[in-house]
Amino acid sequence: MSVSAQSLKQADANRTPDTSKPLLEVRNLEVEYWTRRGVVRAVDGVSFDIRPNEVFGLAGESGCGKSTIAHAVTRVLKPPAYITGGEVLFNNENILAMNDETLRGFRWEHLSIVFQSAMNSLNPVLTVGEQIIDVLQTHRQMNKKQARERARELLNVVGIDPNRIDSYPHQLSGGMRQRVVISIALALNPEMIVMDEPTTALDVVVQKQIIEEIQELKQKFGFSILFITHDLSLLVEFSDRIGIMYAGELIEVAPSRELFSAPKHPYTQRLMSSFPTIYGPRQELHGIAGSPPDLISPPSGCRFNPRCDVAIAGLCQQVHPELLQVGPLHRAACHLLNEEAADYARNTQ
Amino acid sequence: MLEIPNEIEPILEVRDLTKHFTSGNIFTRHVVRAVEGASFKLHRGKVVALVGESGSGKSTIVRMLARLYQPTRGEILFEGKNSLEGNDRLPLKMYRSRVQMIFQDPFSSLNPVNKVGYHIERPLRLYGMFLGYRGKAAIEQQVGELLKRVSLTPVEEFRNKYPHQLSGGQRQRVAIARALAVEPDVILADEPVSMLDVSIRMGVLNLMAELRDKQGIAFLYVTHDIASARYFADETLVMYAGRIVEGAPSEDLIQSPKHPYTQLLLASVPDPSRGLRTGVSVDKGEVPDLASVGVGCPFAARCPHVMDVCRKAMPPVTTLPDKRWVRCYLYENGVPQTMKSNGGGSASGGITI
Repeated sequence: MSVSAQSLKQADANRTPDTSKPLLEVRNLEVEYWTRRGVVRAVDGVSFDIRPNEVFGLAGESGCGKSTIAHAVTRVLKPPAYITGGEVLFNNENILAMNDETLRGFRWEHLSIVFQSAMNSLNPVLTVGEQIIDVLQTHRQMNKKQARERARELLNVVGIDPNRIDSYPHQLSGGMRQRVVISIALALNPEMIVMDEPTTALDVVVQKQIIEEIQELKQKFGFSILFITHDLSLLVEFSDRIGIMYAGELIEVAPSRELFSAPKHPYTQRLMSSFPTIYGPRQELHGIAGSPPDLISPPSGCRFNPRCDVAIAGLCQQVHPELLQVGPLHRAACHLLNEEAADYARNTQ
Repeated sequence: MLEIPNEIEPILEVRDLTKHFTSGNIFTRHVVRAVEGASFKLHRGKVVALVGESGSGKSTIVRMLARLYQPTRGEILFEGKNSLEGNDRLPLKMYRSRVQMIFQDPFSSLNPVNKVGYHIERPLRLYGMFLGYRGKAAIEQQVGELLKRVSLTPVEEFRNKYPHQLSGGQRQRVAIARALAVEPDVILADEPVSMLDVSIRMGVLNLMAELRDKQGIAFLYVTHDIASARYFADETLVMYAGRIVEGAPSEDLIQSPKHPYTQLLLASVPDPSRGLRTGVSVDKGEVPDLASVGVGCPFAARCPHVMDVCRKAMPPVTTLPDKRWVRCYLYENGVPQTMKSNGGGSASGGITI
């Protein structure tokens, strides 16, 4: 990738998130789905953290556990999914240990959620105004009039004519519905918003409008975002740091530009050259042979080894690779990186 | 209508294809103009991509070509013969044995109660009279051949699997094998990879490219992903609100989009190789309701270059050099000076006001 490396480095320096205390810390999170076929370990020992004002992206193929993490962090998982281990600290408070009462006060005040399908997350028999007012009145001491006024403000903030306040969801386009959902997420000025594929069902032009709007809002109000998508190009453009997931595990974490220009894990490398682009040179692409493993009985050793063309015989099939520090903010889980990680450790000492 | 010079006869040609749907009751009756005056040609061994947002009418065109919808107006010519009407028209069954389709969702286009082998056998039995397959053994052997062609090996194992035992990519390969069974000249692929994971999309696209090159199959590749059109298609057509607004060789279209909508579309595609976040703002508009599109260019309401004439009548096709054409008044007198500087990939530059 020969995208002027200099300018990228420059940009990385500017965009490197501060080393202040993380807002959200996910530690060894484990989530299982108990199905009739067996136990699916959808999220297996995932750890990452998100700092104030940071956009952290999680990417991976379907079934890799990225949405499960979004649901676990916000505690909206329903059986057969169970959180079986780890903790999620938000400002040092463990979300997973909160009782229902505390959780109700916490969710939406501090941490809100935008789901993939705005169609399904809005109630079709209530006007959008009623749905925003509902959130405001549940959490704040507001009378109907104040709440309605605030709801109009919120609609204005996300670029919808406030006079559409009495519209029903079906009267709005997909993009407008998603904006309404974002305005509800913003209603109480949370410190963090979890966005699970917020633009996947939308067309690229509308997607771009919404992403730009989220960026503006973020500048204006200041919040962190956990952004989940399978669209890597979008993620690289939009996030500060990216985590790549494969088969329930986090296999690489890096600042987004670094991940794009110098991915370390063989899976990330193959993934980055699996989709055609419109600006780079036109080249032959191959994708990755095989398909992601069944998580009821994942492969031993590195979970990517059956699809990996640089796997080390005898090692990758047996020994599970740990995340290694290969740069200041760059970690990857691959045996091929042992030496690089050792070098890095020596140099930083 | 489109003066794209080509020495070889097109295998499938569409002229002024139009589909209107009526909805509502007698009081609220209104017409949805799903497709208006679409014209293009498919050639053997070439891929034409049809790119557009959801609701732009791309799937309606495919369904008309698959003869699932009866067009309101227009002609579908297969090997130069009108296949819609006239005494010498191609019988529907014959037409379908030459023009096959691959659907978007491989999870719903295969019957879950039937094995892979059955899915591929069906067309061989139904269209056997055109193909000359008779007898169980010949069909069995041909099923094996087809599975091999789409790289579902070992054949004996895959033949007896049910769809739920296959991954998305494998299912789409079964769908391709089923389409190939009747040895079609044309394959209509309606978003064939958009439901698949990123890492397996290329495998399926490369398989189709191989079929194009080795068997000379003509593809109509319908997609919302303009980058994959660049990768796979020789020619790309851009649709907006029921109209094909621009057509060009794929690489040229990406490098120097002419129609303001194509420019907007390209500027909206996230692409990390473009460099840093540009901060270029796209417009806030949305695709118009197809029931309320009046006369004139459907993009006029959002177009940064809109002129009075745009609201009065749909722009005619303007033919440009290098096998390109565009439906936009800006180009009626050739490429305008102000737009020329936008070429060379700076798609985002063209749309700022």
